[in-house]
Amino acid sequence: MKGNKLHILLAIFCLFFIVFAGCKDGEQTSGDDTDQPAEVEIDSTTSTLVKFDNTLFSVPSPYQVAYLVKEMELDFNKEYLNPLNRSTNYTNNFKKALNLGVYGADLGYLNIYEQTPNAIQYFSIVKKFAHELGISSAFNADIIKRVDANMGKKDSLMYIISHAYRAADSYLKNNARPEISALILAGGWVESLHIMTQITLVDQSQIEIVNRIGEQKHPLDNLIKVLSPYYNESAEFAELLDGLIDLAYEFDGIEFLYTYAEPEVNPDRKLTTINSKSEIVISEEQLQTISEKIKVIRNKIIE
Amino acid sequence: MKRLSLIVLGIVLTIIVIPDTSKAQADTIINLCTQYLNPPYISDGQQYKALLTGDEIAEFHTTFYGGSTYRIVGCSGLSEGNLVFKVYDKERNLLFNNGDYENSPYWDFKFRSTIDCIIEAELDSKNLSSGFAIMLIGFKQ
Repeated sequence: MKGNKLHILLAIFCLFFIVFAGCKDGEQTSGDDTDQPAEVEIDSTTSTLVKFDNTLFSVPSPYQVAYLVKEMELDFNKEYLNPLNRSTNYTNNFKKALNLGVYGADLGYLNIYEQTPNAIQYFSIVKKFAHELGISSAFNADIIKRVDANMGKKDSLMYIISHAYRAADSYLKNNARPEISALILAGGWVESLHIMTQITLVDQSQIEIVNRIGEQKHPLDNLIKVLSPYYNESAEFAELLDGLIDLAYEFDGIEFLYTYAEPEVNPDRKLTTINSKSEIVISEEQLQTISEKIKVIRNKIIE
Repeated sequence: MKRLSLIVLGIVLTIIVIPDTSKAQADTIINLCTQYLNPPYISDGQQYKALLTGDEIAEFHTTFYGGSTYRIVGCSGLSEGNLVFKVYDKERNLLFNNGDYENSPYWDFKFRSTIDCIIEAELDSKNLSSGFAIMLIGFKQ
């Protein structure tokens, strides 16, 4: 009889533990555990197609824009960036996540132009927002130490920061907060497009930059698809998406010509050269409208 | 009653152990992958993870900019060579299949023009029947 009671107590304890463990899975943890197993949704339209982290779409890194701008030998212009004093305006997670993306893109731009004192200040805001969003694990003491040690070494710093953003992306996706990850992505993309359009407003002869703007047609489509599941999360989310969808209509008018060509493979170097060619046909009017629309979207993000 | 408590205890242990095992497996795969994404390659800031079983295929769409060189890294399981990944253009022309190169865990791609691509990944059924697939993308200018 005593043994039975013990077993009943053990069973009750175990059931309690199951319920407790189940609840814990749903929590949005803010600790240092960055690699919880991902929730993976199987696409119901086909039996064999699986989404990577619940998404079928990816957006290129905003840092590539910074590299391109530097390659064009354009002068550094701090006016392109979101001023640091605005950071106190962002009080909810929606704004913090978007501006973590914005400031991250700005940090990339500052870093490429070796603006070390400014980069240190922007990095401190990035750290602050990461902490407030519960992703300080991605910007942990080791990362901060490495950033401090590599200030002024632009390639090393870019590697460390992009690594931290990847860790944040992983953490958010693994902890059922993919909408925050999507907002960081959106902020970075909007800021990089804003920087490019600001450059072309001054100098439209920068063909590489103009083309790179036109090439945002598919990244924008992908970004919209990444954000779309969260349209009904809030009025702010809906407004952001509506703005991006409106911008996408403008991009639809851009001609994107593509010609396939056989790739060349160099197995010894583990390198494939993709010889296919693409060409962008974008008018001055389209460029102007895109510049105006991205300015409106960005202003709402950074206000 | 003893049987009931043993069953419940078994369930509890399963709940505790399986996520830890999955986490450990995912951590190991990420560590395998990241060793191939070192400077001069810079991460695109995203990590692509999918749990695959049997002949399931995971895919995502992305854009590669012209004039850049990218590295795609793909890993699954506790050793290299378990993941087959393919790169297609938007017209579904096959641009690369690491299956032709012993399921190499990484490959570099030099893009002459900006191309929208589809990346597909599946487990090599000879080596694995299920597990996490992790993919990373890095670029160098």
